[in-house]
Amino acid sequence: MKIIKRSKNPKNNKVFSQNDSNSVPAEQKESLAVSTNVTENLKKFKAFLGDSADAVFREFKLGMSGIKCAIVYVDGLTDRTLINDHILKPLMYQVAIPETNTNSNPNHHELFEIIKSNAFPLGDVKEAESLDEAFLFLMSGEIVLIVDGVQKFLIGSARGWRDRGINEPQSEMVVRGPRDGFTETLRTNTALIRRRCRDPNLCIKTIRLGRRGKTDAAYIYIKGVVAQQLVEEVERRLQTIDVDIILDTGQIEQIIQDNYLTLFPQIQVTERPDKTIANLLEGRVAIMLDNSPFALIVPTTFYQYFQSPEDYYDRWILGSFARLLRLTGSLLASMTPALYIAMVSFHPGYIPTNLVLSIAATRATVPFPAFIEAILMEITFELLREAGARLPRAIGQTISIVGGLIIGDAAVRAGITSPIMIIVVAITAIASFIIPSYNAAVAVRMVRFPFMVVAASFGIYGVILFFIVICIHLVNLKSFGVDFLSPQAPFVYQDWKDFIIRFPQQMMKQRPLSYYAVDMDRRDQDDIKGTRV
Amino acid sequence: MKQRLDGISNIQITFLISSAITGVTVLSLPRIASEAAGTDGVFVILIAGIVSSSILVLIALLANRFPKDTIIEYSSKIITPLPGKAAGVGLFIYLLGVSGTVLRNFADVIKGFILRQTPLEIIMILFAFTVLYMVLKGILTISKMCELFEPMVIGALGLLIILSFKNFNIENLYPLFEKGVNPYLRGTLDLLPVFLGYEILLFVFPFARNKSNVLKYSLFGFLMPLLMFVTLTFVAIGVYGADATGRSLYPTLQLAKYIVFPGAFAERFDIFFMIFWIFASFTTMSIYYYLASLSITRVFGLKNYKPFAVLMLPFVFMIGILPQNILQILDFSEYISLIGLGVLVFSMILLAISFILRKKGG
Repeated sequence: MKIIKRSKNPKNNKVFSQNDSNSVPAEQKESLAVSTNVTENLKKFKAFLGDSADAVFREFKLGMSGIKCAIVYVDGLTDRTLINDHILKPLMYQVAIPETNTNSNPNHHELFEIIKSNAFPLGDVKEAESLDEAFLFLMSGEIVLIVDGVQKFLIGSARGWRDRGINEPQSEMVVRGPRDGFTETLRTNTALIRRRCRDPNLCIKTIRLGRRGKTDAAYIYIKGVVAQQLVEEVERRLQTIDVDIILDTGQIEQIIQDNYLTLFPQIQVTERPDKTIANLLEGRVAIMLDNSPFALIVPTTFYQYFQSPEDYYDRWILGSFARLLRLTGSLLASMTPALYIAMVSFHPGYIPTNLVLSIAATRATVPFPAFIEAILMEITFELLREAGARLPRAIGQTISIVGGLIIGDAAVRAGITSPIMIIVVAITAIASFIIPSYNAAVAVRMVRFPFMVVAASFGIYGVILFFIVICIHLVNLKSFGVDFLSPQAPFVYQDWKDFIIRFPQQMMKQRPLSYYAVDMDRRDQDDIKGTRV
Repeated sequence: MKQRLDGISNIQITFLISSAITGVTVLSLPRIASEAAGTDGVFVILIAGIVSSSILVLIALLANRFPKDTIIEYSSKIITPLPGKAAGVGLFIYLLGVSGTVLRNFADVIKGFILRQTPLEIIMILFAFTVLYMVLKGILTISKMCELFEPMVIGALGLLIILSFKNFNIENLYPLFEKGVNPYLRGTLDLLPVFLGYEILLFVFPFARNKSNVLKYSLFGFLMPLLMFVTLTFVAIGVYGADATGRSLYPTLQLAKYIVFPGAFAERFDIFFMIFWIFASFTTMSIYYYLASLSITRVFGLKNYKPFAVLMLPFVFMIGILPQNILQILDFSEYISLIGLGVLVFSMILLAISFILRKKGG
């Protein structure tokens, strides 16, 4: 695997407190050392969060002992009922402090331990020794408990916020197959994956990305199936990310991909948990991000963009037919206008006589050469598509009517374009939407413009040469060390079982070879029964 | 994790050899065969193929003795450095010449059949730059491209052959053995250069990942074009007769033109065939161009072939532009073929000497 030499960036470990150390005047600066005094500690929290309306500071006394405590949390990120009923209530009323210590000065550290083990009824409880740590937890939706006389904080997870709920994935609808899609909450997403595969070898590791954002990202893989080198490579590339904030996996994709000087995406994106787990079981790694419903899957090969989960849920003949259609569709989407231009302006002799006559008749009134005509119409189509993509559904229909009627019919009547050109554009459009993966479809659609230019300059010869150049480019691309055109070039005949023809399920007992999977036999259960790998 | 080694895989060797053999000559092949031996061309080409395959075995034997070197290095080891270097320069000139002739032959066909009004130079420059782009990506990419294109090329040839059977007339194949044994001997010698391409094994052997299997897989790679060439000649003579085939400049294209697809979008089959023939010419020229730059680099004992690849471009172009008309092109191609046979003879001599002196490398 090609390794970009960039070590883990030490700046990523920069702590919260250093962020605005310059902007605050020296006299107002708080010492960041954790003190033993509750009020002192609260002051330190307030120094940062005092201006924020959503931060809640609550001081109270522990049980009957009169020991001062305080909790800090961010409203909206936390579950208020849970805090009131299960954190504040036991601490205020029910905490049982050992009798012997009530009169004398209680041992605060002992008390801290008692609270932690007896009066903090939460599943996920941690301790934080520094203010930075505490802030990170606080901002992730956990609550911080400050106990008087103790130089550390007790952290309890009371996360609870509104999310979108599990919906059908908008970008990857299927007729047959599960309908649930990822949401914006990382934990929900990992649960969706976990629910599909009860293998304890399924690993979900997290890493924080972004200097300010500190968003949780998870990389998910199945131990014993995936190649360890691949996991290390993913880890290494994720650690090279050095930005202030990551908002969507799309940003991660652009940073960790092998080659950014290309039109073709080298990382697969999916909203579907079933697709993700199927890919994990083929020896790949999935990368997910909190606040993003899209999972990245690496490594990816070119032909994967033409596969849909339905290929596997339907009977194999249907699946294979659909794949053939999609591959033909991608060729059509990228080359139809170019071939039309080349044929009409350079090689009319190769078109059947009747057809060439009818083309000539319809083109007689068109004032532009075929190239200009094609460019005009293709750009119009792209305009319509882009306009339709951003509009509300109701107006979107208007656009399609305007596009279909006005541009199509009226343009022909006005003599700006020929009806055959409209057919060519329509074929391109339909063929490009047949590709299940959105980012690959965009790439295929973009390629047709340079194709049209070479077709207008050198006819079919130019088209073929440009096709060769694209092939060289694709053959040369890699995705996390895996050849992009695998299993075609390099030829891996074992993987042709799941390539253009999707072989019957009974015959696919091996994992694909192309992704360096360790455990080749899909039926091999040793890892679960016996020792962990 | 199974460690995937760098190098050319077995299947890639197969397609690399096959791509190097199926090149521009596919178009004129039936002509050369029937010129050489008339109706007996089919058998003569088969015999030439068998002779070539035995030379291929010998070449593999030679390469196997020096598994880490190309011929440039082991020729120095066998026949002392100075003559070895001289031979290396000769090999470079041969490879350069092949690149140039392929370029010119290719451009001529394109000019004649696809782009009648475009200047020859433009066609050549475009093609040469595409080849250069490919060559700069290295031998691994070239072998992957061969893997990608060669099955399509073989498929298109097969389709052409199958579709041509519709126009096949068995009477065209007679008479056989009319002139006795002489045309067979002479014809075999004439047809040997048709199969040239397997000599790339002298250069690519050290790049092979699995060296013990190279012979087997390169024989597979030889078998595919052999089969195609024999059936193609058979069909061409069967459709047009030996006389007409011998007079036609590009009988294979004639065959393709003759095929009519009822109700197809394109009127003639030859445009489809042309696409795959461009692929074939492209892989052939890329291989030779790469090997030319590699051999000159190795002669100088350097590592990076890329500057040479770029510097060679004008020379290849000049070789391509040199012949004035089609007759000169044919003559020129013939000279290059003779040098090619010389390369084969030279490698046989090397094999013999290394055998006698028991020289072995690596």
